Amino acid sequence: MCGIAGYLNFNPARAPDAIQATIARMNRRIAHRGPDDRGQWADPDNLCHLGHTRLSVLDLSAAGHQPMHSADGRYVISFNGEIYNYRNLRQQLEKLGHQFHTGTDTEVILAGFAVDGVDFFTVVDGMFALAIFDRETGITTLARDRAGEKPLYYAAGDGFLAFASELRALLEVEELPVTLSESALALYFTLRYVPDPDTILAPVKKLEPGCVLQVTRDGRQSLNRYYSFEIDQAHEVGPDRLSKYVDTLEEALSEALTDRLNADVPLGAFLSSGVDSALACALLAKKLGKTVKTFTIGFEGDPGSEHIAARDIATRLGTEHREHIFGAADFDRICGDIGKLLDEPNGDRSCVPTYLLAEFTRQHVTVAISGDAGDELFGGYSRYPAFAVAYDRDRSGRAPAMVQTYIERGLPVFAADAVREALPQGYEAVLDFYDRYAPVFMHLGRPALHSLRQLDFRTYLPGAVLAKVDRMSMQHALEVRTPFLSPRLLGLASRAGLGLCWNGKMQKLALRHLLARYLPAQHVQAPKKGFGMPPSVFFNNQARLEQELRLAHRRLSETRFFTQRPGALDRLFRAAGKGINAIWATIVLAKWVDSVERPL
Amino acid sequence: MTGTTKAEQKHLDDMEAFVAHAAGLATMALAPEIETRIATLAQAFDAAVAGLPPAPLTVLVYHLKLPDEHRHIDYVDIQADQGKIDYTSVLQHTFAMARGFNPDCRILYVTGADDDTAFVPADVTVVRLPLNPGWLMYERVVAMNAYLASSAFTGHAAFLDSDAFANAPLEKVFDLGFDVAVTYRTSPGLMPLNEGVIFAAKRPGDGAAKFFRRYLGTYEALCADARVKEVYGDIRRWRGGQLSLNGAAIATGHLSDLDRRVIDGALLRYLNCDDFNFFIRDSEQYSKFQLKRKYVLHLKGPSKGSVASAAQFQLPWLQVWRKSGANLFAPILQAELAAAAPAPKTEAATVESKPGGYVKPMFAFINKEYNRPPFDAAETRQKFGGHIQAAAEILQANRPGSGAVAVDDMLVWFRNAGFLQQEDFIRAVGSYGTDQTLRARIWRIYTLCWAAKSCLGLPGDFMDVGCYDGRTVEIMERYCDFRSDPSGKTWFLYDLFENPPDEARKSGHGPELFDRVSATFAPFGNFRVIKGAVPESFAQGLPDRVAFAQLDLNVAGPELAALEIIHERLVPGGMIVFDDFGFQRYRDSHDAEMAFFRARGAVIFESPTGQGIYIKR
Repeated sequence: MCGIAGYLNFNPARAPDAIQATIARMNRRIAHRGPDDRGQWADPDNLCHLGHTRLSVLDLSAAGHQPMHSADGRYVISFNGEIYNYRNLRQQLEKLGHQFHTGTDTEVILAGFAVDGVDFFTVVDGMFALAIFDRETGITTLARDRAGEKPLYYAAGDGFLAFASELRALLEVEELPVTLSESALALYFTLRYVPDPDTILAPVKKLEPGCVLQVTRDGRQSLNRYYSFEIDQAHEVGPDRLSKYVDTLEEALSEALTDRLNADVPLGAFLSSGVDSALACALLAKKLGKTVKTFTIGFEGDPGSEHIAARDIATRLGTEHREHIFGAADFDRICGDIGKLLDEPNGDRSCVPTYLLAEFTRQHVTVAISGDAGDELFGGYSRYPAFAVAYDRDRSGRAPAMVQTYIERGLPVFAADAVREALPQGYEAVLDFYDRYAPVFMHLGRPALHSLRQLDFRTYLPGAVLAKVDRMSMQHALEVRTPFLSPRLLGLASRAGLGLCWNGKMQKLALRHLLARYLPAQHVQAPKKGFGMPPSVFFNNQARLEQELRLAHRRLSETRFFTQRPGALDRLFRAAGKGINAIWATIVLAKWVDSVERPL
Repeated sequence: MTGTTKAEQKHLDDMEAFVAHAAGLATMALAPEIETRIATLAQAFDAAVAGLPPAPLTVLVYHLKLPDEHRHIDYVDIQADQGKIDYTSVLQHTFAMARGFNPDCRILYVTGADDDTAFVPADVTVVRLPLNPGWLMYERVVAMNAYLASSAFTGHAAFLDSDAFANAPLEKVFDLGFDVAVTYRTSPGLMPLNEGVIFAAKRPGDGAAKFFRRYLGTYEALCADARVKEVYGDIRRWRGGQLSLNGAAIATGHLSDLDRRVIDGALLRYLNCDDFNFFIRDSEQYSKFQLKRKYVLHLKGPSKGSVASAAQFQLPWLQVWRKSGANLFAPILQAELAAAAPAPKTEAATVESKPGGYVKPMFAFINKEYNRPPFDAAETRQKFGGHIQAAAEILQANRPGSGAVAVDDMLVWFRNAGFLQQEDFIRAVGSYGTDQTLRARIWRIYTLCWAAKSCLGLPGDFMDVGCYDGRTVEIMERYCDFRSDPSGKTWFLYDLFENPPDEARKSGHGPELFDRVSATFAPFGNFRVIKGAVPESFAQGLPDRVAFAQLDLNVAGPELAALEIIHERLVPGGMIVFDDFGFQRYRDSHDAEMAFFRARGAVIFESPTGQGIYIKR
């Protein structure tokens, strides 16, 4: 796992040395993503400049140094991620006569791109964000994985386009003026995160998952998609084929895990009491026969804490289990640092435990398997049934309004009125968000649960969940691998009919049926628990929170953005009330603003 | 395919590059004479709709009768004889479905100046235009531009092929917010966008008109392009409409309904053909449910002749839709849910005594109060149960870790209910964890277990007065491991076992019950089961000292009489649990027992489970 940075220069008068100095600063900003090595490359024509920080996971030798050049020197790559099927792809490329000089997946990507161009990304099983510069055409290709596991920020300025794994790295580009984006803030106060392609800072954008951005030597941009998660109703599998489906699921998940076990460093797995991580660990331990190190986090004094059940699962699976109990000291420490730890504001309450889990896990391993995405792919969120029932009963509403209702009630942060009144122009972006994703509810006769799965896969998963996992794990240079996001699993999930996801009482049925092959009922039938800090953490730290909220008001009111919008902040703070989500999102935002070294 | 050249095949093999080439030629530029022509044709639309009331949606269907010299289509990737198709019946069905699913729409039939229109229904407005039938596809784009430039474009518009049949209300599509929506498919070798279904929204900014101008400008540019000519020759007759639409809409990459593009001032949306422009072919079978899920059904290729089979499905479907409207899928989805997979079969959690097990409570109407008003009305009971169930669902009650429990006529939340996962208790409940009656009063049973175990270290024996079938005592015994108690305690069990008073009657009472209960406890050695009315039966056996007793007689008189005797023998620290104490139905027992303890300066605790608990000081 690594960090990438780059600068495309369309102004020949700009000095290459100055750009290289910028790249060096960007590299330093993302050093935590890749502490093992650092590299820079400058195009002799002063068009493309690339940077890279490396966390060595495969081929730990210097041969894996980046930016890496293709054998013929035509292509140069800066790559962040892991390609799990790179051995297979490598064999295919070797049959075409390609000779490889390293054991890295980076070289395979480079070779594959040389053969198939952007089509090569469609055959890749992996998580990645990359930049490839074609020295012959002068075209730079930026690409991101299917689900958005790895981040890629970019911004165009006067005669340049810069990009990086993290937003803060772009702040090192001095000639890039940035401001807090009203649209993004309105989205943040509505969703707790800023969805792709927006970012909290204008004019910076995030490349959307499954997309490729190509930039010509004169700065023209061409954005294309190579993947989107669809529900394949034409080939959906009903409950009559459950058993066969579960067999296939077991095989596909085992295959995805096997591919994700490939590492030249110690490897472990996150384990909560949930179905997804339990299933991943069960297959690792029982099906694949691996000795697994598992890691979990519990909450002191929280009766719903998952660590007790996780401990039992670990005992049953025979894993080498470790747990960390989140206590008051942890809360104090993370609460103080949360602004600096987050690359971009993310008000998801599970960022903090994820940070701690990653920190704790990294003490023992370098790579961890996680169960993320199971809820989106197989319909596991506890908020789904209520909306699914209501929407299936009455489809007379407008599709954008269905998205809006789901967002406002299913994942409430600030009341819509407050956001609209505080940030009237920005709220247009919120309405546009609802419009954009409305097609998920346009399918006649399609169960609403499928629409919710698709909506969350496209929005919540990359925007909140995967962003959190990447940023929190990368703070500790821990690489997290997600077997549920293998292309085969995505395909299987797209064909899971309603009856495999939900029977009116229980969710994620197909996954639970598979888990039942390895664990007893109390784990198979356990309801979904969130991984967020439980309300008890907040109640136990109420005085601290109130103090933080006061500080947040002061910090935000001092920003140029809110100074120019008198009354907006007070309107939002009145609405924050006692809503945990709103309070935490506000504190996170203020701390993040405070940690940014540019005036906002 | 007739004599495809290598150059032609190369283009077709890389359709994406071909479309990208078309996109590269896209332009809004139109020659002045074309603009003049559009303005002239727009007047025909103005005239056609003059006096008609405005409509929220216009369905525009275009068809020209092809002269014989143009009926054969022979392009590199498509060959057909248009003359073989009975367009009269096709168009009649197109009109019928457009009207049927969109009763308030305006239907415009755009055709040639001299074409036959005798078959056109009265509610369809015919717009005759002087068009060149030899340029079938080009003229359509011209006609669409003329419509959008005319005063007829007052509401949203759906441009449908003459063989594209509305299958649902099309106005709904415009909820999505766009200027133009086009439909895409992912079939290899085909151009991504199909021109047979295009939606143009009436919105401020005239984005739709702008896009269609680009569509026509691109068409013109492609007609003059050498590479296009090399592949297709003259594209004004055929193929050009589709290629220019793909070029104008930049249909490159993997299209998705996620994507919107602002192109020359128009907001474009891409909709999946599978839902919005579904191709049906004679050679394939479709389930009715599959067809019901489509907004538009589009005949393809030779199947154009089989409009009758489409009508066979659509006419009854239309009737169903008319009756039920947008929510007609609700029962279908309900049925789908009802047929969903059952919960996975696993080792029963209720008998799981390993760490992490769970005794699953349940909510049931076993209290006798449910036989009285207002619950004696089935409807009330059903309604009440539904609400409880709904609340329980929200709380995920009775699931491990949910913190919510619905049991013993209670719904509580934000609780640990840790006893349900307590290893000792799970083991004690054992196989009775599948018994619904016991699960419905599991909190009461746990309370008894706790009380009994608490009294284990005290001097004195245990009593269960009103033990019925003894299963509760069995659980308590296992919880306390009473049979292994080294202090030599005896557990006395009392009940009539048969012919109880009506108030205490249960289904298991009968002549065999006493023997059955005796047999259950006989192997343990330290149990005595005594049959007869309490307190008289105490004469058969009564402990000198009592450490723990449960009283469950459901009748105030005998219960109080028994209490007086037991209390005298109760050791300090000993407990009595009154099963009926808190229940409304046994208010007389409650009052009598309250008075009993008040007279002795003692207090009794009324538990939320309905039990009363007394600890002797």
